[in-house]
Amino acid sequence: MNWDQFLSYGFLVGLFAGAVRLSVPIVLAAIGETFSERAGVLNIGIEGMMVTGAFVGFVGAEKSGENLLLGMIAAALAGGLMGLIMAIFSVTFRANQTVTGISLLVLSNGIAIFFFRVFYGLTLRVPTIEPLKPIEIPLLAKIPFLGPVLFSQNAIVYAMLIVVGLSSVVLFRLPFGKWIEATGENPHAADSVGINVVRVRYISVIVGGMLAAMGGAYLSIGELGLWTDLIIGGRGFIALALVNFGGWNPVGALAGGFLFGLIESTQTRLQGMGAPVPAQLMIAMPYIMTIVVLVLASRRGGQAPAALTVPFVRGET
Amino acid sequence: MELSSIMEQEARLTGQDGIVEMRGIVKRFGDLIANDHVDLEIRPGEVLGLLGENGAGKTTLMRVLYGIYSLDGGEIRVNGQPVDIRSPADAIELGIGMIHQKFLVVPTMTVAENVVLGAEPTNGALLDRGFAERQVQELASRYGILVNPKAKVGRVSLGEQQCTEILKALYRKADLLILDEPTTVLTPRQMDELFDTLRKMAADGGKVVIITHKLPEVLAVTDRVVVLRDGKVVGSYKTQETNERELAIAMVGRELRPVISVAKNVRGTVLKMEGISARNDEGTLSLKSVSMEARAGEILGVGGIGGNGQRELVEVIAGLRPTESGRIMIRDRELRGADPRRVRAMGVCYVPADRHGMGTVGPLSVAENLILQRHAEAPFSRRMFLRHSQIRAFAEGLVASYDIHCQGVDAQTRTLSGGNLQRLVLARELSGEPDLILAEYPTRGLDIAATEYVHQVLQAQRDRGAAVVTVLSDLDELLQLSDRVVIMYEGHIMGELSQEEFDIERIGLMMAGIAESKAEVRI
Amino acid sequence: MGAEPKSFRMRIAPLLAQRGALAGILTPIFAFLVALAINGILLWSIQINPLEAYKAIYQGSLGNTYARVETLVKMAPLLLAGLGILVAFRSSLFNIGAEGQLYVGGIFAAGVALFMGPFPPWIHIPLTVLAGFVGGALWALVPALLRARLKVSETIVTLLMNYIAIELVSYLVNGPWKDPKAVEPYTARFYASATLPIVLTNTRLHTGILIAIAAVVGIYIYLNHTVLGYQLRVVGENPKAAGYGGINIQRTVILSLLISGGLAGLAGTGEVAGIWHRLMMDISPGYGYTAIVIALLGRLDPLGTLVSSFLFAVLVVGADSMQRTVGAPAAAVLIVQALVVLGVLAGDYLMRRS
Repeated sequence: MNWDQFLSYGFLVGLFAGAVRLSVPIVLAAIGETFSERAGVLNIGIEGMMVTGAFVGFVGAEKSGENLLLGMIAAALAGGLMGLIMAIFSVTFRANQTVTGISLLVLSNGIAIFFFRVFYGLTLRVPTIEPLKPIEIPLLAKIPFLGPVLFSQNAIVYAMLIVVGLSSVVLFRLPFGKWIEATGENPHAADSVGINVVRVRYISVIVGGMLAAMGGAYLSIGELGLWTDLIIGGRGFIALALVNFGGWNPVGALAGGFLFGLIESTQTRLQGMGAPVPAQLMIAMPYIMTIVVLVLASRRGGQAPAALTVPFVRGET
Repeated sequence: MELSSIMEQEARLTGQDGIVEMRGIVKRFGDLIANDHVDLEIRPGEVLGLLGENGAGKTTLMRVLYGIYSLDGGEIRVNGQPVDIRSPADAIELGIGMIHQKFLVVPTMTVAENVVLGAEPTNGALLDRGFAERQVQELASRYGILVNPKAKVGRVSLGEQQCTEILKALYRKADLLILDEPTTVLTPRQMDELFDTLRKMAADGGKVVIITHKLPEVLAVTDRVVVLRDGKVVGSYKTQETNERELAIAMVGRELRPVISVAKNVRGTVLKMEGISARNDEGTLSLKSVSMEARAGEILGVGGIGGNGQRELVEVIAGLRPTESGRIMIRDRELRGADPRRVRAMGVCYVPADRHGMGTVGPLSVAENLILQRHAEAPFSRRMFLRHSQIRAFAEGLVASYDIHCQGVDAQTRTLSGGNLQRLVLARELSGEPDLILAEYPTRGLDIAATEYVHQVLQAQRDRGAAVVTVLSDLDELLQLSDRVVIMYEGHIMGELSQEEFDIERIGLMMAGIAESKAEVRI
Repeated sequence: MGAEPKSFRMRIAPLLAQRGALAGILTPIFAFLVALAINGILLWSIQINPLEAYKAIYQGSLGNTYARVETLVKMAPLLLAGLGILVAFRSSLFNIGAEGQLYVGGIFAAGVALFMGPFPPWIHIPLTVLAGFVGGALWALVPALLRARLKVSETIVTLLMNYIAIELVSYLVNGPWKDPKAVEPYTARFYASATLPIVLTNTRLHTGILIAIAAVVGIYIYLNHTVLGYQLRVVGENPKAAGYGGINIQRTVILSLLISGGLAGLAGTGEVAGIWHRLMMDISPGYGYTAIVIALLGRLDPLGTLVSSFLFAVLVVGADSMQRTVGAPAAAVLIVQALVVLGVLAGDYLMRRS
């Protein structure tokens, strides 16, 4: 392996630019889950919502003559629907949130594989579409290093950054954000001042589903241009851990997501360069890192919303 | 609801300004009549005390007013107009605010954010934090409430959390403030500050109602006192014109019923507590240097209004709660540290108040529950295996002797009724012939027959020679069952009375916080 | 996810709302039928006659001897993994890592079956099986320790370890353990003395099914007749009472996950030592996740799990046939699985309301 090549400017630019791109699905899912968890609902099914988003997004784009925007919107709607189901089961039925989440994951996989077969037949030919092209921001794209890394990305990357900003505003600077916080920390307190706990939780979980789905859709239509049943590969679970690690904060999710994007970007490049590390170890690295992240986060002490996973029943303090 | 503004205007014109009337209020819970045709008038400019012992109906009455409970009879009038209060939202619209015993605050948000929660001031669409903090500060200053609006509620004292709750009500333009046992969590200085605030509010034309059982408070801050007993109003007094004795008798006044049975054979000391101090789950000191003795062959009743340390007292002896100071001796052997297993080994058994929580494991069978603490011992298990034949035989014996109604010893425990669950817990605990029995509210939620059964069992154990320490909330029950009684108030034992000394006036005063004499009470 | 898990009672009570009562059996049956119905609508929407599809499933799994044997073959790993999930869930631990534990069980079994020996079969086979159990248990040890000592939620950790396990297998069969004579990524054939004997001549039905059924009995005895099983149940239902009853909760948690992982490991052992006689990738088409559905449908009861694992073996085997004959994608099985669980959850809610 050529170590000089490793530290060259071109390599680093590619590495970081790739990291930014690869972080999008995880960041979007993590922000979505941040909404959900801040309101008190733990959505393990977020992986499933990413799968749904990836699939619906792909089909939407492919069937509409490569209208990627349509694909994104379709994905968001599908994710919102999944979120609605999650909300019904966890908030209204007060069912176990872990079991519901796993069921939604299996359901998403099932529906996706089922309809993929239906639409594209049992053939070996893999349907593909053109992924997103980068859009260069005038002037800013010329900045050395930051230019290609941050300002020559595709539309969704920019959208992700906007989402980070928007979510931060909603969660921390809008009354509704305070209502979410209250619902997740002490729903009885929220209820006592007239906040509709059920409605806040429903909205948060649905938003979570939509964002996760869009994250998944980015992978299939923005990055790879195809869909397989392994496309999400556990990113949803990594996002779950990142919510914790990021302190239930969109900026934290961005930082954590970027870290994992960097790991993935490094891994693909090192593999390509013939690094003396087994490919499988590199692939396993994000998952191992996530466990490490969880351990570190647990030692930092619980800052989780106090009412997380606790169903709300008025009168039962 | 525009009613309040119209009513405000009208009331100001007619001079009926601000009076809240509760007329003939009836509230039932099943067969229990919690409020029995209660009349109450709350007038502006006045601090009203609602006094009563456990179960008198004072909290229920105020919860009806605040819309948490619906009334079964009677009506409520505000400014002369009848109103229908169906939920706290309605009450808030009418200007009623209630501070509960358990504060409903969001610890991660600041005081100001908590106060304005749900009604946040905004600048455009964004939160206007500065404006909120200024508003809260202004409100606080007006009533002398000392609190930092920028402080995170999770880090402030309980007293400041209470201030947050009060400010919440004031922010929503409450002019009637109901406080439920407000001084439980306050230091003496915080209590004085609170009383100053309440007096200011009353002076400002507002209305204040304090639900309490504490006579010193009533005398310190109220203008008028209404005493409730058994769901009825038994007296209404101007604070300045009454005294402790009168109020205490009103609160508990009754004919003493004849005792159930007398202790025949009281022997040596089994339990000795010296200077025990301990904290409750919230970190407040709830036992303050308590000293007490329990003797074999005797039932010691622990009374007083709930929440004054009775639960912590029992938990400390049972090894479920650590102590901060003092010694506990069981038959001259010191009990160190909180270890329920060691305590059991020393011959102590514990009948918890919470049958479903600590007491039993619902989905397991009756037989399996009966061996909970002894499942790993012979004869119930050998090597790694449970010996079901032995377990079943043991269980069947207990089911018979304690007359536990169940569909066989293999029935799931959660199918048992409350009374039978209690029998199960008693059977389990008492089967080892313990020397000391700790019973915490053993008859709570049980019907008359089940209650009598529990009494019989406790007396039988006493006659066998065990020492029984039981916490009871019903005063009648306490005085009928106990051979000796201690009354707890704010973590102290206010006094101790043997059966011959039972005197309702003395007991009432103790329960309400009036020391017998400075010399007698160990504070 | 590192936060202190909420009270067990709140977590598991909605899960097992009606255990033991008649309603406990009715709800899964009802949910199953509803799931089949909804799936039927789905099939109809893509112009496939649901009845034809279900008939194809039946034919494919129970229609002839060969099919029935295949069903039993598939039932073994499902039952074993399902029992593993049962044990974990009964102690209120959400082990979603059966898939990974299955793979690592397969790895350990392969280790013994490839590199240790030759031994006579009566030594080699038990050793292989034991190794598989140990492998699965060890893979569950990490989340167990993290949960018991650091209160890290086992749900996510077990999930993540699934992915790591798959990479581990991939590394071994593509690298150090690869069969030098082959192009495909798998190991050499196991020692014949280490392969599980066939139970029914001229079929693929291996001893794994016997191990699975023995495990049903074993788990039943463990849960209901041993001290440790009693402790596991108490910890799962009411940790407060468990503490009061002198039970060491940490030890119980760890032991429960070890057994759970070990059973999943046995499932993996069956696949590699009973069917393929090699270690390779993709030995499990998601058994670890199906096992969760199986355990829940079986109401976390060994006998119930036996029945539901048979039911799902029928579905899984029949689904391939359905795809071939009627053209309905086999993924319909996944949809049915998910709908069943959701149906059970919804059913429990409705039961609680009435």
